[in-house]
Amino acid sequence: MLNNTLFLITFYIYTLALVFSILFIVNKKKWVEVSSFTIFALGFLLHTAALFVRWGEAGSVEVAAFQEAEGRILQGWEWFSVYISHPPWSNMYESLVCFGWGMVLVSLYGIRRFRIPVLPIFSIAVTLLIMGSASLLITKGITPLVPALQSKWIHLHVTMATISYPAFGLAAILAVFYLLKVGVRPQTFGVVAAVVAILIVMAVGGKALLTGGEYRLPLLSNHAGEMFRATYEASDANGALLVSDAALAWPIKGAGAFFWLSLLSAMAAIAFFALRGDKNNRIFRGLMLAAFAALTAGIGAIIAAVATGGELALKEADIQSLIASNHMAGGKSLVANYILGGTSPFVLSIKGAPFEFMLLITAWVAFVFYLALEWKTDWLVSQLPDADKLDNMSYKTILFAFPFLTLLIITGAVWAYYAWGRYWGWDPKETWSLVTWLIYSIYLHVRISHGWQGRIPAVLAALGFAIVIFTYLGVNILLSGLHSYGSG
Amino acid sequence: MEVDKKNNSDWADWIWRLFISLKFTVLLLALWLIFSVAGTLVPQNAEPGRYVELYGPSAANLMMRLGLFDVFHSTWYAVILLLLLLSIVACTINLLPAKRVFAFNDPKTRRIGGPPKRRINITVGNASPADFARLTAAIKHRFKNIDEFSAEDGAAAVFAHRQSWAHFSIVIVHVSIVLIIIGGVLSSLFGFDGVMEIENGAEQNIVFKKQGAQYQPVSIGFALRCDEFELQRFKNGMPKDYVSKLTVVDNEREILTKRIEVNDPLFFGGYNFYQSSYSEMAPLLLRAANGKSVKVNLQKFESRMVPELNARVRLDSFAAMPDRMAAQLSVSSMDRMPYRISLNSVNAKSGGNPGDPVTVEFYQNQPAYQTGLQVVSDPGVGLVWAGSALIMIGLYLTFYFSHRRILAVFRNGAIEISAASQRNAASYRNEVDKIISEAGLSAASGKQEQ
Repeated sequence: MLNNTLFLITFYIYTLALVFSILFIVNKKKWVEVSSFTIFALGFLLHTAALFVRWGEAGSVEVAAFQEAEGRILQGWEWFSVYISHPPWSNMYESLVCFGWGMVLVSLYGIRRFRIPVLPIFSIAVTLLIMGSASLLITKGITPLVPALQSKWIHLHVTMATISYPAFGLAAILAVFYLLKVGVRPQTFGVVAAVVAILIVMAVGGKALLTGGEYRLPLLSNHAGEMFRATYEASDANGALLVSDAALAWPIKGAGAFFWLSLLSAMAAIAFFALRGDKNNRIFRGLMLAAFAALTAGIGAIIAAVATGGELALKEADIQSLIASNHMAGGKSLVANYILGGTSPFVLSIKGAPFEFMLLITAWVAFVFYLALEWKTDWLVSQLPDADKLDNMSYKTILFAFPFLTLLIITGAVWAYYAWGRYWGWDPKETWSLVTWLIYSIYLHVRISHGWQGRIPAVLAALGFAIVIFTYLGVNILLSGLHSYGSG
Repeated sequence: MEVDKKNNSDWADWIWRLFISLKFTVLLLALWLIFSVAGTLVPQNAEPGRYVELYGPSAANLMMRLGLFDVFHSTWYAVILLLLLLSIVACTINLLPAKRVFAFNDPKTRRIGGPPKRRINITVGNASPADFARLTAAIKHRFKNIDEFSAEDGAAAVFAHRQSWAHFSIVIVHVSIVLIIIGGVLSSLFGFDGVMEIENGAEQNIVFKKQGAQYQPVSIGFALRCDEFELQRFKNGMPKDYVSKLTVVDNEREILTKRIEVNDPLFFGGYNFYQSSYSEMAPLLLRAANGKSVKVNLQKFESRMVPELNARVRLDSFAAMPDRMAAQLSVSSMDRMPYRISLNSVNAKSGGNPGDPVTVEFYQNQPAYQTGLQVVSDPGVGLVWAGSALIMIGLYLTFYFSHRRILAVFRNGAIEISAASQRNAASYRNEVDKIISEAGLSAASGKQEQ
């Protein structure tokens, strides 16, 4: 549909902006900086337009569904109220592009207001991670809203998230700048990157990686809180129904070895970091470089093996019962086609598990970030304003975002009360939103105490955004609950 | 005795100092956070077998003792929240006197107040009375509360301030948190959550109240009758909306009627009745050989004893599509071995052979519906909403307003300016600079201390 095309173009425009912002770091010319900002801003305009286009297209779907169900043509005010009843924030794809939009808005403001030359690269990179995740999702289509989402409160609730989450992201970036400025060594960031990468590789590769030395790309689900066993319906050549609830996985042996290597290098690096000393620092750097190279090779191996039609582990015995699921509605036909022969397995495997793939990319980006820090520490630090100013910027941003976060939780509670009869059910999403609120409350309180000012709040601000991401995406993917429909 | 009294007051002192300490607050917030995270990682209120499966018997036992299987209603959780409440109260009481001084006393005594480090001090040298008059006018432009007076030594002075109440905005935030927590506790202790199923056309006064993982039947004081259930679908079959027309019946009297749908509940007798789901049942007319017939609505897998026909009927399968229904039943009766009946609404409307004790037919072409309601009674919700509104007000006031004051004294041909802001010193500094330049003066013409 048109909106998907527009979002894709927006993604490319942001990529171009990133290129210019990297170029600026290299040649430091004013016109390059201005170009980067202008392209970023133009992308934002298109992004906004794309959201409106999607709103309209969703409106047409709602009108058509309404007319079919009611058996009559809608007109005038009634037509209009149904047409605008489905704004673009009712499924995972839409909420990701909205989050991306918010991130750009907040970044544009932050770049102008704070005037830190290296801010654009980080902001645009985060934006691209968000828009990239969105672009990998299969379910980009528009379906009529289910009854639970037909409420007025959703609009305010999602708006609060669109404003507050990106602001917390900006505050996290500024907090990291602060830590750099006060002299936190790149190796410390490296250790964080290494830990994150280790967790991701283990979570994504799973047991098969550790026991079989085999990297399997399982598809995820949040039904009953268990790992998704790709479930779908297809018929074989005789029209007999094939059903399976096995994990759709591709054993990619080569990738397994690379991920093992990456894992071990990262762990060894952490060990050497703990030992301190110049020589150990050099060994640390070497091991991190090795881990990065292995991770790159592993990701490359996945893409290569699968793009060339890697082995499909879907044995006859595995194909026992396929159950259609809303979550995989878009994937249903893709997988069926694959079974009967047709679609590219690369599309199937990567797009079927976009979050896993994006997690691997995030781990990879964390390494890139660390390596850039190692390589360019002094120059980066020189580009940053005073530590006090950075602390103040981060603080002000969190002050701005915190009331919106509070209102996000409250509107969520009101919506839940009218839709489900209780304002708080301790389901994972609600609980994690409280956890997010608590971490920033701790941040605000810690800043008051003189002994705890400076590094501790900055670490909390960075950690806070990780918690925001977990609340937003981690809960949907890894835990279960009433909010699971939001992942479709 | 002297010694005991001292020990007691030491204890009390220690406890007081603990509760007013920031570190204790941060610790409690951190504990609250950690326990909440635990409650999302450990399945809550699941069957014991599941826990043994996940963690092994000894770990599961330990975790159960720690209350990790129902974290949010566990003693630990309640203790943390209680301590937090006490800490909020203690901190507020502790800081109130200082806030009162800032807000009421300082303006009266024309004191700038606050830590000296954060005070703005500017001296404008070579100033004339006309300069001072212009400065006073510039100050008057921006402050409503002006106090022009003479200092003890006769020097002309002006003191101005605004938003002195802003010292209390954080109190509003903390009070609202107290309200929300108390409301939450009330909901938790006295709240009521259950489900109720009413067959279309029938009355029901039993609610199945949720207790942990089980449901207990409880009678509410009155009955609800489902007059009409309507399921609206989209073309692709997905449900669009469920609507039930409910009538409250008390002592044979109809009190009120309301059409409820998803997101639009019925409120009566302290309960909220939410349209939450529905079930489809097979609309069966059972006929005995002696001509007696009974209408029975069965859910899939439901088995019912029908005394009038001396038989037990079980619905083994039931499928309802927009244009047809199909059902399979097992019938067992005293007179005969159990037998199966199949029927569908298109070409086999009735099932069973003429010799069978019981034959079955559909008495209508669509399924019979049963509406599923979620029943909620929540005495704490009002407090929670009040607290929510209050916290938004409090946060808005805290983050966007601050007490700002300025004192200017004209003495020995120089104007001594001191000023302070409760929050955001940098932007107040800009404002003070603007006041000075509006008066045609230059701060640089004098000494500046910050």
